[in-house]
Amino acid sequence: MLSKYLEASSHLDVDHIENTPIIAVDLELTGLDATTNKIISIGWALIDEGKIQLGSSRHLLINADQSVGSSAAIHELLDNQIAEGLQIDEGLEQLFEAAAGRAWVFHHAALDVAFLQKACAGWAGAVPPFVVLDTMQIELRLRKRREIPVQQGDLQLGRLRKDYNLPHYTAHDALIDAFATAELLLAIAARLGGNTPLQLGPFLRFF
Amino acid sequence: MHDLSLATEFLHTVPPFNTLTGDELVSIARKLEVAYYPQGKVIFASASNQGLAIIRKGAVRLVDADHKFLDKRSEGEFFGHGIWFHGEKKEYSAEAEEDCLLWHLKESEYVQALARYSSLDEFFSSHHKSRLSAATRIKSSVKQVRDLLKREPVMIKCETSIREAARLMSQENVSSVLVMCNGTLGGIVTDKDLRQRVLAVDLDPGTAIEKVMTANPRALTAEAGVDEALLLMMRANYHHLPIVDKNGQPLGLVTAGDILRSQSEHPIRLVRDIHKRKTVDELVNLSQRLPSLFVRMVNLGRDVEQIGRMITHITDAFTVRLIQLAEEELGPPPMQYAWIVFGSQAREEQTAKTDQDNGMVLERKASPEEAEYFSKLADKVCNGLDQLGYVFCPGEIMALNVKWRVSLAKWKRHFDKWIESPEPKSVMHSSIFFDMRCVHGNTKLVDALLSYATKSAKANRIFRRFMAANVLGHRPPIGFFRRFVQEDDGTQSEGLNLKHRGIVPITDLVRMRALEGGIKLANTFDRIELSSRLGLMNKNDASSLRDALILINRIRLGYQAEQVANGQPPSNFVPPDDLSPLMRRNLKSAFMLVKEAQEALALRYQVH
Amino acid sequence: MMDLKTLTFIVVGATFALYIGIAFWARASSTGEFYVAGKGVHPVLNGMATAADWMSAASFISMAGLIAFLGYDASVYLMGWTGGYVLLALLLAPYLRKFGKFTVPEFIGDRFYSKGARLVAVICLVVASITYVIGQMKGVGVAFGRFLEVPFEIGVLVGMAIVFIYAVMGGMKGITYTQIAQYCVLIFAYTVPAIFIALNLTGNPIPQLGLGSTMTDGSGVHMLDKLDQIVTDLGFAAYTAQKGTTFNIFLLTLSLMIGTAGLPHVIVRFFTVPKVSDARLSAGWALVFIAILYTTAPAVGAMARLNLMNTIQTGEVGAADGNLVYADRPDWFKNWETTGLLQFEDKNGDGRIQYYNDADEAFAAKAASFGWNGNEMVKVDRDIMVLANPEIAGLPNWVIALVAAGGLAAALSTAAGLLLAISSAVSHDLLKGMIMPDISEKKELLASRFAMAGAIAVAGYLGMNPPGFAAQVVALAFGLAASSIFPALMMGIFNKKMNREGAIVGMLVGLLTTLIYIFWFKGWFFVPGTEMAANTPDNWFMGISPESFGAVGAMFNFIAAIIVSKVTKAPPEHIQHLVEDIRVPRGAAAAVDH
Repeated sequence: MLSKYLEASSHLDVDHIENTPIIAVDLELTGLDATTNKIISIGWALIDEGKIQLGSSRHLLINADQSVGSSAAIHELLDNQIAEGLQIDEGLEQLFEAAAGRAWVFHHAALDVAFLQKACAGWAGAVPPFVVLDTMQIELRLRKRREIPVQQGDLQLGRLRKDYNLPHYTAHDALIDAFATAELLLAIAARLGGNTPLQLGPFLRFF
Repeated sequence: MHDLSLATEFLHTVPPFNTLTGDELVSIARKLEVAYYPQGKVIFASASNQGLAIIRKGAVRLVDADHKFLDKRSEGEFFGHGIWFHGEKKEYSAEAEEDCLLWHLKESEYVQALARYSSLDEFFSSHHKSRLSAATRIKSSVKQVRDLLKREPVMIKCETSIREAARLMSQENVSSVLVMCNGTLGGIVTDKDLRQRVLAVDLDPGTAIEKVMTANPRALTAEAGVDEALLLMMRANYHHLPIVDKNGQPLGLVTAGDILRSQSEHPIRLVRDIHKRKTVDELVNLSQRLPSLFVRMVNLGRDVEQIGRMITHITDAFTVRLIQLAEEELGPPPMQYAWIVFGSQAREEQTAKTDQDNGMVLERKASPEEAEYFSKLADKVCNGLDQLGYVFCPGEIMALNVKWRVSLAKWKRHFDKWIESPEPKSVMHSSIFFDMRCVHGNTKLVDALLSYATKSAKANRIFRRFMAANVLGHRPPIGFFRRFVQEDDGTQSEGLNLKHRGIVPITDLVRMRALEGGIKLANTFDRIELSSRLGLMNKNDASSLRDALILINRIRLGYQAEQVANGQPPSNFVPPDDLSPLMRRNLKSAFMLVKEAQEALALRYQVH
Repeated sequence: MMDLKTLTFIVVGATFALYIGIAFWARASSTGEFYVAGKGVHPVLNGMATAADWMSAASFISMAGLIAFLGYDASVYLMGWTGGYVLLALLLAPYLRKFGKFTVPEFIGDRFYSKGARLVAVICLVVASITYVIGQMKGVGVAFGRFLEVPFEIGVLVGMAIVFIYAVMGGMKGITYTQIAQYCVLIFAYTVPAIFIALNLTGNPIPQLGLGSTMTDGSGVHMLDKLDQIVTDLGFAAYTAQKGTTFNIFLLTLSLMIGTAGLPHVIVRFFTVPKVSDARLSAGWALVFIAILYTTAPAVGAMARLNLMNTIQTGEVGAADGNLVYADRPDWFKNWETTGLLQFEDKNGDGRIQYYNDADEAFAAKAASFGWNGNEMVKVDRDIMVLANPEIAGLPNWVIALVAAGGLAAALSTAAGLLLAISSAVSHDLLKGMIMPDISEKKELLASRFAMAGAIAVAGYLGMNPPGFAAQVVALAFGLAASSIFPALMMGIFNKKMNREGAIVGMLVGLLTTLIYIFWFKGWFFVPGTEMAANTPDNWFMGISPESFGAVGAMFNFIAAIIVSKVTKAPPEHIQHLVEDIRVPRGAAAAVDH
């Protein structure tokens, strides 16, 4: 099930932002605990040659067999909508097909990756490797290096987007957030890279 | 699923996109690419054919070549397309005045969108019209009524009978005749006159024609501008206008239809018409417009880069339409595929004389039934193109050939083989196939192939050395003591082969730079520009090479336009004696420049 | 009968016309239609072209001369150069091809992701190449000097001019069919006289076999025994004797071998064949074509020496009329005297020529008893042997003219190839690549011409001046190439963990140890009198001569590089992958996709 992803990922050559294929992903969840909570929607957008390909974006609703409960207040997805969604296995299959040969970008990767790993274990019986760029971690590192104090909430997606002069989007829709993260990555890369495309190697994390 | 709502919601607020339906917006949004430019960054230098950029956030400064401020554009506004500044269409460069988030529609997609949605076309071309004065000035100064004359005028004497005049008109199949009185133009008689002044009043057909003619009609000399003629006709509601020489002797007739038709020869309009046609025969009819369009563009003094791109857009439009028609007939394709074009079409450098170089990239290996589908598709499209005048490729580089109708993986293996074993045939193929572009279908397939091929070629200098040796096979026609070397093309007298010994060496040299730098653009001007920006080429070398290309091409196109206008087949041979001494000298310098660039290439790869 | 000078002009002129004619024909036919591909070159023919590139004036003119005078010991040059070719063809070329690089500096620069490493490689190669050009200049000078009947120095000047024109016109170079014609001319010119002489001396027309046959004078003595006897009678060391230690000879062979591998003009040849399998076949055929000349060389050397000795020592050693009367000397002797490459001085005033080894103390006493007053052949340049050989043997004039044409073909093809490589390295690698990245093409071309003219001037000057000096530079160049470039190449290909730091330190260590060892015995920068120890076998470290030290320097290079690479950061991932990739056959990698 993962063989195509694994094969393609082994050829992944992370160089600079303009020649590295990237997938920006965001998940909506029933809660924050990967052991008990579930994925209820997946959104993604692809970045090729440093540009987000709008036509490539996808938004999948997942039938999580678990009530969205109070989390509905955040993502505005209701149980009856979720029930019409795909089975998680099918969703993962589509996601990993799109992600083959790409570096992942998340805003706050640890959470999303933990959920994906858990879900993969159930689906494919194995946990695939993730080559990850984390916009939150990158920004945190930059601020530390420049000795800018970081307050709580400073690194939220919406706040950072504002700092980078990006348009305001309604938060907490998996696709919009994935898209927002992709734009943020481009903005950070453009600022950091100056006149040459930013080398991504130093920012990679491996899960 | 509301995948693209993010984009469509915004587009919906921006004129002229607000005129489109939700589905139409989705199909445009699918093609958009999002890019981010920090403040102060140059988005592109010198805009032509940059497609359309929509500013999602931020602001952009447009400046001219001397870095003078032209305009500022901000959120919800556009740039990248041709813009008229104070009545003048100018080359401009764009830089981010603030941090910018741009949504970008590629040139090919932009042209297609204009062709498909008339509201967009009107909006973006009405931007032109409101600032049109300069444009009309150019047109009237260049385009003369002489160019509209199609045949000798049909003339009769003033004492001729109406019957005889009518017989002559139907015999000559004309709607009007000129009446000569005492050797000068005395009047004009039209179909309408015969109906209203003869039949309607039951006049005797034996009456002399001078009784019913419009006497002393307004006439123009051949040097008059087309716009002047149009204005005169509109003001007086004439439909026929006699054209005379300096002595008042008639040269011919121009009708309102002729003038309107000449005005309609605008590439964008042609592209739109192409998309409205429903059969191959109708397309064949449209293609008849091409030669005159070509002549007109050359005579209008458009720059050669633009001419190449426009002619190519038209070819693209024909191709896409033929594919659509074929798909309608054969049913939807069994898998994702891309129609890929090579050579001059890929480079957007087509001229009057052109053949087809194309192929198909399939998503995966086709089953026999699937292969059958694509075989039929290729058959229809390639034969259609042939009927339209894009003759079969003598090297059989066409989708018609099963070898060039294969999966992405197979294409990659083709490139592997060419790069690993650069035998003469592989090198010949490489020089054609490395210029590629997707005109229909899944662009991703072509992008993937292009990335793969450029990456491999960039990494392998030994392969490039073979390419370099091949480049040196086409030398400029300069012999010892800087004398022109003439050749015989078999059909005509001798001449300079401007294509093989002028244009081809330059495109080849520039392709070498593109391969060295992993540049994926196919257009030679784009490649030169990017090579120079990436430091692969010295700035002066780049601009000299560009100038040489423009100069040689201008001479070639001018010559071809003349041939086409005279109804001859366009040729690439120009006898040097037909050129003015100044042009000869310039041409010589251009060739010397190419020669020098070739020597530098030889040095770089140690080939001679 | 046409006189020799006219005939030489005609033959040399005809061969040149042939090369130029082929070049024009090839160029004229290359502007074909767009969709018509040219035809490939058959591997056998390509092998010939490669052989022509490989065989320089050093092979054609100097090698047999060296063998004639050094005897057995000179065989190291045969072995070293042949070995170098095999090493290049089998070990380096296939991997460089997979790496997609056709020059050594480029490979080193990319593989070790370092401009510094590339710079070191460029400098080493330029020095090695210029040294090689010296050999060609010498050869051209000898040939022109003889056939224009002018002093050697003038011959070199004429040669410099012709080489410059030839290399700048360039067009004749690199066209495979010209190279093939050159091979045919030179191999014909080399073997035909050898066959005649072998037939004369031993009755066997095959020179390689003639070398081991008995003499035709009826004595039944083997040719080599006869030669040994003649030279030992005159106080020279026996022709077949081994003069150096085996260890030293081994190292010298090794140094020549690995110093040769990586010479730029031949490497390029391997990449003009599109298909890898054809490239292998071509390399094999080239070896065959090279072997034809290389196996003939020992016979030519021995027979030339024998003929020379027999010409001078006409009778019994020590007999009053045993030596040639100077006034009766043959024409070829006089002609070579004009070039200054052959000099006679009548030390004992008897009007006869005594040619013996006056450095041999045992023989000196004997010589004194003959009334000899020192060796009277004060100068016998080794490089004249091949050219003079047919004259000494009294062969027809057309054979002699042919040899001149062959010598020039060998020298010109190699010199032009090297000069193009030098000019490209200087103008492209050095100037455009490192110093002035934004240089215009016009200036780049100008720089290449200057580099070419400069290289010719330097090589010509060194060719004219004390040959001892040239020999030292040769030793230095081979030593440098062997100790710096070769290990870097090998480790670049076979050790994926080898990193930039290791490679640079290794190259510097190899370079410096070799340099210091050579300077120690030959004087700092060859300035006489600054030697730290006399250049004699007793002083040498483990009996290793400075010329042979390159192989030892290479060892140091390997060791230093490996140690440094172990303690520094491993090379970037993509470089390691690349190295793995080039060692895996392409088919295997592709098979994984399915």
